[in-house]
Amino acid sequence: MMPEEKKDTHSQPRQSDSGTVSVPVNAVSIIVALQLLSHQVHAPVWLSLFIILVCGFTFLAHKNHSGKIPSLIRTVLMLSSSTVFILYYKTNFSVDMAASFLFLAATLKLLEISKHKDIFVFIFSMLYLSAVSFLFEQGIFNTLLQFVIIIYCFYVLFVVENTASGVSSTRSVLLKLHGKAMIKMLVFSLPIVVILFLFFPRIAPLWQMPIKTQTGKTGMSSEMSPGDVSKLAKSSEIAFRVTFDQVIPDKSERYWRGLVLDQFDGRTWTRSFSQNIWERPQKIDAGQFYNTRFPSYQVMLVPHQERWLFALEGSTPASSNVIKAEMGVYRLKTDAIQATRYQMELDPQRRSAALNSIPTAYSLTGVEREKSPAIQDLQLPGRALNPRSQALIQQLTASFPDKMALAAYLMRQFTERSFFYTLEPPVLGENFVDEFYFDTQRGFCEHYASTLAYLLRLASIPARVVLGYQGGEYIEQSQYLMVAQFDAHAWVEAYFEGQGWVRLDPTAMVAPQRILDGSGLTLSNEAGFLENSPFASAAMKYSVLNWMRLKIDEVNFQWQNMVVNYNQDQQDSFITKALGENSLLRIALFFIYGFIIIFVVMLVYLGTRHFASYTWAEKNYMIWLLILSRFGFSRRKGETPRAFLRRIEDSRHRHLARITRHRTDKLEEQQYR
Amino acid sequence: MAISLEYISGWLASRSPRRKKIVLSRNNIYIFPSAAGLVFLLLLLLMLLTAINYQNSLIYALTFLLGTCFFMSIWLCFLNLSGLRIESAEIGRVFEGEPTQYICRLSKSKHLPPGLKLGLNKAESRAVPFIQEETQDVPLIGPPEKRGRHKLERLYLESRFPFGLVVAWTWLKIDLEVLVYPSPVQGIPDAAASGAGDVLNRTTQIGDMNDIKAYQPGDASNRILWKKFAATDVLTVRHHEQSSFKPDWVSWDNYHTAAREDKLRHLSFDVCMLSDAHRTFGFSIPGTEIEPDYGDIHKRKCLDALALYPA
Repeated sequence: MMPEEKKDTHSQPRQSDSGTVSVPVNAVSIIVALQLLSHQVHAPVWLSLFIILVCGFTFLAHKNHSGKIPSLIRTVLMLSSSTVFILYYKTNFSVDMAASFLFLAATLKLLEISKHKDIFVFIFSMLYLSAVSFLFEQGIFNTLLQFVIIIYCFYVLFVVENTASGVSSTRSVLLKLHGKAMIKMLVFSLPIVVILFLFFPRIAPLWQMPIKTQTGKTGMSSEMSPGDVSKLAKSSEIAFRVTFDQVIPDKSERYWRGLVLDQFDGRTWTRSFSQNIWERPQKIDAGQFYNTRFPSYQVMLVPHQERWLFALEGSTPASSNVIKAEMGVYRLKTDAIQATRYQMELDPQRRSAALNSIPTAYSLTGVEREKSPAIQDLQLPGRALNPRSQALIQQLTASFPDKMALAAYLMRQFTERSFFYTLEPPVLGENFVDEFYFDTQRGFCEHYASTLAYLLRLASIPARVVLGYQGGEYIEQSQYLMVAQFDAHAWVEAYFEGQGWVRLDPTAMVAPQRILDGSGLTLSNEAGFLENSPFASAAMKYSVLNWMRLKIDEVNFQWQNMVVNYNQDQQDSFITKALGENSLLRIALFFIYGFIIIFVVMLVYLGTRHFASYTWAEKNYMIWLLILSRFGFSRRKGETPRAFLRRIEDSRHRHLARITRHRTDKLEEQQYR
Repeated sequence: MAISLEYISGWLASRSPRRKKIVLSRNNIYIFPSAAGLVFLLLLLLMLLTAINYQNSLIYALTFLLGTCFFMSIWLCFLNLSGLRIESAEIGRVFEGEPTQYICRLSKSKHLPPGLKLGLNKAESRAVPFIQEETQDVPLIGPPEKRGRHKLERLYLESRFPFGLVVAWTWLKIDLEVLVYPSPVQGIPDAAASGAGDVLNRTTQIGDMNDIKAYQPGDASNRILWKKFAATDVLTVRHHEQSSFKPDWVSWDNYHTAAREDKLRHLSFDVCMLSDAHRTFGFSIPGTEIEPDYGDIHKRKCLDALALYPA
């Protein structure tokens, strides 16, 4: 686990003569600090502490001109950090473990920098760490951050390589002289980078990579206890963004199904064992879109590190990275560790339709169980729990022989009884449903969904909880729907003989405006709403801020759409548009022409550089000499321009002589002025 | 094999004929990734694989950016060296047994390139400290040589500008010379010979000599008796010109018995000693005779003659 400690005795001669290298500690500290900022997403606190400690010691040691850190401190830091590392990560290999290891090892390398090679090891690790950071965070901010880090990395290499004696005064002189050339280099390379980015063939993954990360992002979890969904209402982070091909569904139709929870233990709804089928890890699929027959929509999922995705009722997959699971739920082929785009189409045949017999109920198609036993939807926790509910249902089944009538009665109860929709419900005890339904009657959507599904199951109606999002904000000018974490929602699906599966949303009965206006308007007066997102919270109140929030989101969306998600599919359509057809020949020709152009530009640049010290008259004269040599006149060694002119005038070429005289006069006039 | 080696060295010779002055250009700069550069390329490959396997556009972009910077650094490395002029500054002069010292003059318009390393071979090349000047004289240290005139075989020049990822190097056949003087060894002059014996006696008495006079503006500074000045605060100078002494002769005949090289070493000692004592002396060895004179140029002339004495 320790970073490589190579006591290389056979060192290159270049290192032996300069002895210790002069480390530009300021730049190194900036690199580490920025990298730490970028890796905050996943870096545990102890890692940040160790890195700051190591960096601080290095900084102090080099500021005191000794550059040596007491070996005791070195040993203690190395041993303690590797011990904590092993204890923290144990043996679970994951991406963030690898990233933390690389970061820690590279920083510890700072403790023993004595040779050129050590600096290279450090800088190369930092560059690879930049790549790794893009596995966690792909926003514009991180991209700019990494760009700055790369500039600093090259700066360190430049300083270390060119100030051999370690005189710091030469550093500023060098930078003054060559800074411009470096910036020129960067400017020259950007168009090349863009061209490579656009045209370099995107290859399918060669092998499958470890992708589990444990980043603590806010987002849905795979189970639902009271308080889980209301927690999400505190965050304005985007969950996903959607663009629609044709029709944008109404607000009340925007039920984004994510997970079906069919196992209840009296408090927590989870996915039953039958859903947890082991799936072979697959290679990452960037998602190729199929041609669609029906109206379709494209979802840009913000990475949530899981395999589930969100789709409207009645959707079928229309891209290669989506696979069908049971009960109308879809899954990604791999964990969404980076912004993931997928396409779904809306089959009009599968559209959910309003039911008259039960208020706010919709009949669904395509959500049936296929492999697992249907009995799961009647599973109940222990008989001892919630006696009052059991008694109530017993009484109701006697008075309502029709199950749909019973469900309709239960739904109406949510408006008739004094239920209150709130983010801050009172804490509930063992008999959670009883206490909620009969006593407190204050809760968020998970309380209502959980209670309704339980009551329906008690009445032998197959029921389950669906976890997902409801609503979203349609941004008219940028033409996309923005679904935030505070749009998280839970509702119920129940099965009736002869009718099939039906969506029942008790929240729509308790707080209809939640469904019609979204949680933003419904909850904006609640204390806990957007507690963790002060900016978004303020934006809800001030329209200027809201405009800014939407603008920022639009830029982010465009960034994700055009850069982060530039994949094989998009490349194909881009190349077809740019070159007429996407064939290897066209691309090869494009690159050949490109290189010829670059080559010519560089030659011209070199030429102008070479002649830069000459005046115009001199340049003209030299060019004319070249032309004259075509006619067989060449200036002899030591021959003055005047003598050369005389020689040409003596020959018969009067025309040439005239021009030569003109140019010689100019040259002399210019030189002996 | 032998033929091919011969061919290669012949080709190399034709590529870089021995010259007085060499200007670096496309024809004589070779650029190749350094060891660090090769590791860097491996890193890029690793990044590309990461980008492919994670289907991550930004890692692709990062890889392309770093790759382009690598190629740009080749370009910068070339521009940095191109136009650098290398020539001989002066003939280096050392004594036998001392490391030889060739002096090479670097120049480039505007300012000299940073990150240069120069040496007689790759292993002994040393970094040239960067100064913001158009020219700079760089001494190159070689192994001790025998007495005589030595020409530099080849000169190795290397630069890892700007980032150490690429290395540009070139072998230059350039007219750098060093003269190796015989090392000064005190000898016992033949009693029969005149002059040299007196040399030694007289130098020991130099303090009590009567050929001193008060300093006058215009007197050569190297004739000021600084010791006396320190003691008495009065500037005094020697005046050899008016000296009634016959000039000394450092002569081949002073040492009859010694072998040739020993004899040259003794003469070298005498020249150095007399010159350091600011004495006027003549110099004569078979083939060369130098009229009595004094000063550094005179000393150098004499020592040159000793160094070039046919072996």
